[in-house]
Amino acid sequence: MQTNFSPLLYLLQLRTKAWFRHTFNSFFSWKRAIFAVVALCMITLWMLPMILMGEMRGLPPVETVRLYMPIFFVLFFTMNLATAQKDMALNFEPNEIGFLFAGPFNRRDLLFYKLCDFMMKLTFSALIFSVVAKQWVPYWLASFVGFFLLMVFMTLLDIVVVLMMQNVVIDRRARWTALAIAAAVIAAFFLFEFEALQAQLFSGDGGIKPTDFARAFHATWLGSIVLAPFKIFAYLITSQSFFPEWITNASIAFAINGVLIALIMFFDKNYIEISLEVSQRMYARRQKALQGGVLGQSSSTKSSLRVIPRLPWWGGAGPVAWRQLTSAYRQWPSLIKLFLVITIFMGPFLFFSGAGSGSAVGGLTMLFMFSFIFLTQQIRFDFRSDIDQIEWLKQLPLSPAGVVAGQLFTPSIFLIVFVILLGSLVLITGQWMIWIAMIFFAGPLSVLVYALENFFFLLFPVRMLPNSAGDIQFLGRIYLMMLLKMLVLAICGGLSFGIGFGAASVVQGLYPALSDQTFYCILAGVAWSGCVLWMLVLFVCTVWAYQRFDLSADRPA
Amino acid sequence: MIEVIDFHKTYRDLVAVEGLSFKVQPGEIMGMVGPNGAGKTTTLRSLCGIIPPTRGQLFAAGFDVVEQPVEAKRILAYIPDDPKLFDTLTVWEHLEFVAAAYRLQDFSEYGEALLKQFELWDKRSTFANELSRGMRQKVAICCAYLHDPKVLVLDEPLTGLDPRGIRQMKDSIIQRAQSGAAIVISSHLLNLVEDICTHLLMMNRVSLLFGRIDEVMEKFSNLDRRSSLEDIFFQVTDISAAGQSASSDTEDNK
Repeated sequence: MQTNFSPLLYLLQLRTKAWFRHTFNSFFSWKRAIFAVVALCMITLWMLPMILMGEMRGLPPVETVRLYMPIFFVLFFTMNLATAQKDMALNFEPNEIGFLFAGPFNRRDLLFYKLCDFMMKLTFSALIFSVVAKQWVPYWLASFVGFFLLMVFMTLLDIVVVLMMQNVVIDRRARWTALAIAAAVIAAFFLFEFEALQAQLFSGDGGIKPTDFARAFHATWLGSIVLAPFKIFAYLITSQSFFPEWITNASIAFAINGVLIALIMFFDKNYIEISLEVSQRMYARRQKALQGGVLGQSSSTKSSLRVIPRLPWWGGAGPVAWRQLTSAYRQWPSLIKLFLVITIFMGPFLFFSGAGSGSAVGGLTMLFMFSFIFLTQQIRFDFRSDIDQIEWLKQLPLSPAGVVAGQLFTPSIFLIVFVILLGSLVLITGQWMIWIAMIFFAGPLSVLVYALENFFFLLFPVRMLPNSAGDIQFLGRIYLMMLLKMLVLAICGGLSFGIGFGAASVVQGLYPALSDQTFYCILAGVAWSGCVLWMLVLFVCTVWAYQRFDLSADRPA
Repeated sequence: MIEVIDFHKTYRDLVAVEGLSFKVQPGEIMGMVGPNGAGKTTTLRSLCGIIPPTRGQLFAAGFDVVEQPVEAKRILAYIPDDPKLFDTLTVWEHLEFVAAAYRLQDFSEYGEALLKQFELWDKRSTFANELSRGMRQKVAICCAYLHDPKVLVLDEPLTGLDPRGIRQMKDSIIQRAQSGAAIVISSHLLNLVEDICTHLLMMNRVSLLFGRIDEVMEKFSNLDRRSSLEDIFFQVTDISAAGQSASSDTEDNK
């Protein structure tokens, strides 16, 4: 079979040039320049202390890093796999299908084109990850190469898994067999390993510690199998000598990736046909994902025609809120899936990291903060899901404030419900005051973070979906928003509570006989009012951003 | 009535529309034609209050779309060239949503009639993302007609429609005009403009030609034959392009 790879390489070259040109040109707009400066400041604020602290405190024991790193990689990979699109292993864009599939290229040309495309993007991701990981590893260059090979590995493994699923799905019997084997493996794990795991976890006298948990998982047979390939990359990243450690691990890593490429070639018999067949569906799903966040990717509106009653007018907010609420309501299975994924994958991690600082309440507070920071990114039944519908919204006879209120209603309600459910866990610990406080502040804080998300989105709109494992542009934007939210929550919350504390102290000064209960009531009342005030400020900012949103200039391609 | 006075729209260095003025009375249908990038969609979007003008005034039924946007939008309907529907809503729910937004109390009967007129009644429980391009266009049309607008703004309204749909659309536009609506249509289909429009606006950033369509045809016709709108379009836009290139040459020489 004759190859025709050079035009594809030229296309990659052109696209890379175009990306740099686009990025460079975008800095000539004041908006993009501000965005770049803010992003730079936030990233510096985030990375610099980590690097400096790492330098000051010295490297942690390599055993500890090697204990956690593979588990983190497995979690990252699983999360990536759980939230990625499953229709096609090699994600070709509609323009690529239009131009390349009809062009004089064979299957292998296109496959290598796509792999090269991935690898180019992953180089940048690896660079960022290696800088972040500098505080834990002795040699930056070794970790850079390690991260690059790890990213390639995760992308290739992702492709292999999806290709295997595609091949398996064709045969219904084989699919059930695969599912049965997976269920048997999990059942066997719990049957034979649960007691050992439990014994190791509770062997110490200081309760459960993250280290115990990690060590216990490493010791199980399932853990040792699952973690085995990831351990190679963890050892490569944390290599302490060039020879033999780095060379040995790098050779194994290359070999693993080589095997995966061979597997892709083996499984991928007719991906062009599959790609053509599913490209339309994938594009539609991609659009949906852009509209509903993670929820949108896997949900099906065909499941049933669930109808919710019309909401009152509410100054124009009612119809808009009803529309978003209907969309969200029809995706409840995905919503539950998202909560389950969070509970299973992130819950223990957050709980342990918080609980490590003191009590279970610390862990729950971490979860509470996490829901404001992370969930707002994922549940986006607001302007972020309506980027293509803003034209419609703008032509409706509704005031901008009404439209914004309607758009913020649905996601805020979801977040409040989630926080209340989460807060109920606090009751187990008997800390009912914390539960009341969580419920009390859930409302204004939910609207506040969603207003911030939407304000930022309307100023700097972008369609964001990850293209590969560790897509740095996607992750970068997520990190930036998370940092921004943390900063705003810290400022708004800190100021509100500070003023609340001041007010309560003044009242206590005037009335020394003031009971503790009244003191805390005054503190909470003033702090809550402060939060509401901040919420209103951000709401007004969002209304302004919506008004000035210019479809012709601001709608992303 | 629609009135546009000295409308300007610029994007940083790019002048999209410059000093455009026109007026469309109730019962009139104005066809807006011009080459790609002439500023037609920008003008229509501004007229509907979707994007703000850089300068100038735009009125819909006497309401300034910048100063009184909600009042103007209440009597206005806009059908974009590529309507983006809400994927998770059914066809009927789109009407419900529009009825709620325009505060229509009893829309069911009229909504049903519209869906039947545009052959969507059987699809009323279908989700928007399961509809074909033409059907999506029809849903947008039904939504636009639901509140019986006095000002109708259409951007390439026939895109994706089948022959029957095109006929229905043309008839419905004429019907709306006869019942007193002021209508603006932007289209590259010159025969559509020739068929149903009473007025013509030819533009390329600036207004090149504006007037009653029969008068325009009369003005451009030769002694031996009547010019088609296509002939007029090429004649006017070629002159405009030559003028623009000459002026840019002069600028360069300076």
